[in-house]
Amino acid sequence: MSLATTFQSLGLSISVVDPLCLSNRSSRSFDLVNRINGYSHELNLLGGFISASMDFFVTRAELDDWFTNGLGRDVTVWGPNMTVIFEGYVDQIDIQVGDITMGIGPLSGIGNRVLCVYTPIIDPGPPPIMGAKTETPIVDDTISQGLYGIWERDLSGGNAYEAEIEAARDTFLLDNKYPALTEQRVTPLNNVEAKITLNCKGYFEWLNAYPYTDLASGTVQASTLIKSVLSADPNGIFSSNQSGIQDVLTLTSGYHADYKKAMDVIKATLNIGDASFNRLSFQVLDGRLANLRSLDNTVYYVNRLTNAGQIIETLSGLRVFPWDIRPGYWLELPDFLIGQVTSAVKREDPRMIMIESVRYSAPYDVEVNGAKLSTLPQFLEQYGLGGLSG
Amino acid sequence: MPNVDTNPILELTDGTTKIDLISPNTGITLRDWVQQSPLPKGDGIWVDSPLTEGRRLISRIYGNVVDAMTFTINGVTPDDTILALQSLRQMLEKATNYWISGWSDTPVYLKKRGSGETNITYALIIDWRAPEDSNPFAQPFFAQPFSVIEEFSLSIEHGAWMSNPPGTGTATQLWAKRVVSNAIGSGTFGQELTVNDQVFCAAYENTGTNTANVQYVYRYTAIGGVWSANLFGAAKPYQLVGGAVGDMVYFGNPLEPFYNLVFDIGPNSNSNITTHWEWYDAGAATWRSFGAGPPNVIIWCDNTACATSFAFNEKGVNVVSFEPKSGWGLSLVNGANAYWIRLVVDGAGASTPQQQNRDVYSVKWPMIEIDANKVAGDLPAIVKFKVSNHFNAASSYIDRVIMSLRSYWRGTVITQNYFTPYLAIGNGAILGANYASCTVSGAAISISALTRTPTGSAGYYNAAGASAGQVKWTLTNPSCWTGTFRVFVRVFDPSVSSAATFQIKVGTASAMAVANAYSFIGKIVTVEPTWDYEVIDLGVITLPGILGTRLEIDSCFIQLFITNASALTFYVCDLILIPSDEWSVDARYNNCHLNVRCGGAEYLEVDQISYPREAPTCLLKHMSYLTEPWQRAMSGPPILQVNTRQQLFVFPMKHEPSDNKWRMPPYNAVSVQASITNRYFSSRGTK
Repeated sequence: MSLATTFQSLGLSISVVDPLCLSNRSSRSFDLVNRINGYSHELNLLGGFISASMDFFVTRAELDDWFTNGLGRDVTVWGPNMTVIFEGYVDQIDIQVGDITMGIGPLSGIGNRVLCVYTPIIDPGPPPIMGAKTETPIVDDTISQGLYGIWERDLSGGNAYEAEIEAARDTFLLDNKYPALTEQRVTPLNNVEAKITLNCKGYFEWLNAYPYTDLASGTVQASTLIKSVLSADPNGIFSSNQSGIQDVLTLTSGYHADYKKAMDVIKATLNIGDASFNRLSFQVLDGRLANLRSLDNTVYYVNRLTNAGQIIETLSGLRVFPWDIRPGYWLELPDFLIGQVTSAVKREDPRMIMIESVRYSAPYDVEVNGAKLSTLPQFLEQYGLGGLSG
Repeated sequence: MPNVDTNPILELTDGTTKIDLISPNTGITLRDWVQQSPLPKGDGIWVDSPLTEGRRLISRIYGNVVDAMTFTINGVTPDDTILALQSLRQMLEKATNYWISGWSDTPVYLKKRGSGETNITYALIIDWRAPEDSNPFAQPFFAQPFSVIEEFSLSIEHGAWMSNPPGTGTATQLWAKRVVSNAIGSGTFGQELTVNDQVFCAAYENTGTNTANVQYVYRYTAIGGVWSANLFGAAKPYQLVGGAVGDMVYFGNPLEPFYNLVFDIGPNSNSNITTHWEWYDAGAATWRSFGAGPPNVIIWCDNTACATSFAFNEKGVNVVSFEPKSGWGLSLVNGANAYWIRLVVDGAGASTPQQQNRDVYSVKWPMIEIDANKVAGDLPAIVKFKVSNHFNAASSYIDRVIMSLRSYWRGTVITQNYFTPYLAIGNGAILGANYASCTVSGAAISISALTRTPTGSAGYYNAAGASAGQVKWTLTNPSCWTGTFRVFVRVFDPSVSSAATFQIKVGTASAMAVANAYSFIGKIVTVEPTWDYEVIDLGVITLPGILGTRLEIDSCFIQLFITNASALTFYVCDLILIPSDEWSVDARYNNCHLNVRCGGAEYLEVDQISYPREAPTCLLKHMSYLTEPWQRAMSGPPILQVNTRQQLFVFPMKHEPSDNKWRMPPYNAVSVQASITNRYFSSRGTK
């Protein structure tokens, strides 16, 4: 008898290629799935792909390559349905080889475009005479930028002479233009073969790489401002396809000075909520496409206490694999608090969880965390109220 | 009955040097071995809820096998015994070094055939342990003659037993053909079983009742204006076209447009004519040459983009591919009403091409077929797929290939599997009564004839302002469609372009259920269609959409919702359901290296066999010099299922770097070859 089997592949794929900002990208592609000892990732409704971590053993030569060239490499993880479940870059690398433990990064900590805002000392006095607040010219390290992209640092220098603050700026650039070593440790009795841990972050983190400045605009719609902030990215990380940004018509100030990070501008914009004071979700997802939307009332996931498989399902009962669970959607617990009256307002019902974050560890561990939702913060933000106390 | 014609074999070998482990006299002789079978890693992954009865297995992946063997090692002298021992350990050390060194490319494996067993199996060695010898100062090791180590224990960690030595596979026969039972154009056409690189599939499928092969092949002799009889179905070989200037051969399909013609030329013809291709513009009632340059280029797979005159001299099975022009339509040639193209001789020659073996046909299917008896073994066979895109014209390069495997019998319909990945838009004849019915609704969309879409029909979305339209496919045999799919919608001719939103919903409409109750609602995808044959990724759906009812439901429908806010026109060609629940791979060129794309002499290998240490790999190769890794998302090692008929679907795509979009032109026919290695839990026997 020859019986047909019904085998189904369920593997993840992990591919790493040269950094997106590298000047001369090679065609190398590292398929890590056969090597990794462990993989985990975290997703959040603010940011989308937040972080991932994976560790694997390598040869000495491979370890040298990773330690020297690995930062910034583009990491894509696919689920078995060929959908992207994490996309980001290598932000920090930790290695262990023999009795040496060493780390390099984070990449997001470097600064290779620097200026300094300061108040010039015109006459030391007494009394000292100060000029108007100004800024130094920008200095760039193009070699670092060619390797890691542009990471701008806008420093605050207080009161200073022009020559001194420019020297300080240059020194900062010198010290920060390349990734730092995080630790260098030797433990002679604790030997490990060559092992690498990649600490990855989603491209959401690159909103910290540049400031957003607009000295011309008055009030703008929240979604318009977010599109403008993304378009200002000097590294071209974020997709020019902004179709995932839902129209949010709430008005906010379009005027932005003082070298606020793009990240801070977007977070401040999200605080304002939509016209119904609902919270907003902003995520950078597959293909580095930004997604902005109001958190709606649609239930997408279901988790039943009495499910023998303890799996999360869709409303119609289809299995959702742990790597496919996304934040920003309602998860219902239908057989919890059985018989109690349901509330029309989902955030008032303990059986409803708005997924704030998802932590997944291969192969099947997942932790889904709920968000606290209320409309008051958005109300206060829209009306410019600092807060209520009592 | 045991097979008495075979000798038992147990060898340790790197393919060149062999160490016999069942040496009958001196050397190494197996004394005891309880053969092990692979076990699931960590006993599988179980969920064991305290709130429910029993426990549930949710994942099970096999680990390596550790076999413990006991040998007697003997020699005439102690030195002979020591030499045998050294040889054994050196080979085993070579086995482990294959894994830990970067440069060693020679795997070491066990070769086995049990007593009375018919076939040989092979197992790739990964690690070993042999911690004990024997006392070299005492009997029986210290003896001459006949030095012996009596209880030499060796444990070997190895992979599954295989039908081929590691790194090698056996070419397996594939086929791709279609039976058409229409009154016009009936018959079987396509490629029968072969291991050769001539099994084609295309990026579309016509399942409708109007599906037909090319049915008219007329040779026209310019001198005297003589027509041949219809050569379709004529005895082969036959002369395709004469050798004088103005001689022609016509190919006509009476029912529908077509994108390609597969020829089998030679072997004795050594054509020295030059030719060009023409199509019939029914609107203008005139023949026209195919224009130069994409998207209307015609391509002959001797790597020639045939905008101008070329030699029709590529022997063997090859394909001509082209994109139909918009004016193409039914017209009368030699009394036959059909869609026509013709090959025109513009340079005379003494030798002309001959068609041999099979009729000229069009590839109208998206899959390669694998028969149930082609894959034996216990575990899924590992595979090396070779995907060739023969066309060397830049307009026909492919930058991405999605391949997916699907067992043929996946429904309750026992006579035929009615699954197709391509749900076209049109009336009942477009899809065929056994597949699906299609309706459109909403102000913005209507069904329109369109020669340049795969079925000659499309949904025409035409909105002057904010509007909406829906397409609904009701699956006739829904159990055949059970499964999980990546979903794309293919659009065409976005001549007035602005953003549109696309959303997929799945529903059931049985007698008991509420019609139009959706069991699955996909996410909204907003895209500005830009390119002809652009594919818009709508994510993943599972059909029929309700767990536990997949075999019982009597109706399942898929609905595509389109809305727009600003003026927008485009055609919706088809909805594409790419199976993704058995095995699939999404391989694409690494976008930091734009010049490496699959076309002409390049081919893509998706390979679990050739490089055991690195497998699986996705390599773009060239016949002589190029090897380029492609990025790939793969659900697991490339496999073929055991003992079942299955279909391998191939979806070739092109990248448009200017806006990072993907297109799937239906005229990109690719060919596939497969090399397999069967795998077994333990012994192989006759399989």
